[in-house]
Amino acid sequence: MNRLILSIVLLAAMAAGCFYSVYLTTQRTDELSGLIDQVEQAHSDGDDKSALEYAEQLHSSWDSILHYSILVNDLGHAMEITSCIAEIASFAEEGDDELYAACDRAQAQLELFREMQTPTLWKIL
Amino acid sequence: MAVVLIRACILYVIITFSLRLMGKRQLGELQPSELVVTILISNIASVPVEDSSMPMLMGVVPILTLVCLDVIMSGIMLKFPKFRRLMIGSPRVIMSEGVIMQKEMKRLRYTVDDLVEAMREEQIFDITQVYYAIVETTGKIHFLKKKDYQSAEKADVSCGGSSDDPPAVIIRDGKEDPEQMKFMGLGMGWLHEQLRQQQLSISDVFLMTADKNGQNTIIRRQRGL
Repeated sequence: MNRLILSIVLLAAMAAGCFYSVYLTTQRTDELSGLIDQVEQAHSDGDDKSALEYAEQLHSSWDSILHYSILVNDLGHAMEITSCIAEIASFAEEGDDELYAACDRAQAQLELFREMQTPTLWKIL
Repeated sequence: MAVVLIRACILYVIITFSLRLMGKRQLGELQPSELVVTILISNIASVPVEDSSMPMLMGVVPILTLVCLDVIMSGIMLKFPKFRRLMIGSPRVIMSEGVIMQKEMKRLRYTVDDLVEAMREEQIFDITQVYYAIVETTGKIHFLKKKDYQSAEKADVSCGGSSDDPPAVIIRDGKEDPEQMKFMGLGMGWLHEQLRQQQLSISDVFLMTADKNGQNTIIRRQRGL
């Protein structure tokens, strides 16, 4: 009976952990998307200093997400996002208009990353 | 990660059902759900080991999920016998009172060769000796021989042994085992008396076994080893 209870508890804990990781990914990627929008907006307003600040904030936020990388089932994809975010910081520092393309790439990668963690029917099947 | 959890659950149900559908012949010794867990665990465990870019949890979560599901399933089967019959089936008689149930054999997809082979494994070479043959849920066939062909047991020939309990090891490598002696109802006084008769001390004995009636066997320790 103890084994049965342990199994039920373990399964419930794993299910909770898995669905929490989905929630966490969705929440954090939404925050990151917001920051990317702010970097783009600041750059288009000609405020390169704010753009750089937002880009650095974006970088540190993404680093904190990577601490939860054991809960992510697509580490390769996470590495792609790291590279995109590094590009944003670099372009923001230089005030380069390539920043828009880098932001779009990062948004798309984040969107895909969020999608990959969400248990939708087409992904399960 | 939730995708992995859900996939593991779905795969468990699908493979268990598939093996159940395949019938007893393919199962061998394991119950269907045990076989599913064994196959899946061996495969899943290798994936994160081979792919270092994949987190370890990707292997651990589905394996734990499968094992937990298996334990929960066995708990449910214990509580609901009908569910147990649905999941693992029930033993089937394929020979009754010496008569082969051909319809049942056909239903289970057992051939005469399977039956004869299983008989040979049980050291039965003549089918007329068999009274009952039962296919267990694991797929193994067990036989009951007709009375005339069954081996005589001690009760049949009224030959009593020294004790129903097997002998226990009471001295191993020069050291006595007080727990075993207590279990066999033998005291230290009895042990010293036995050793005194053989002019031995405990340290001279390599192995000593005794049953509840005090019948014992002593193997002396070889010197100079």
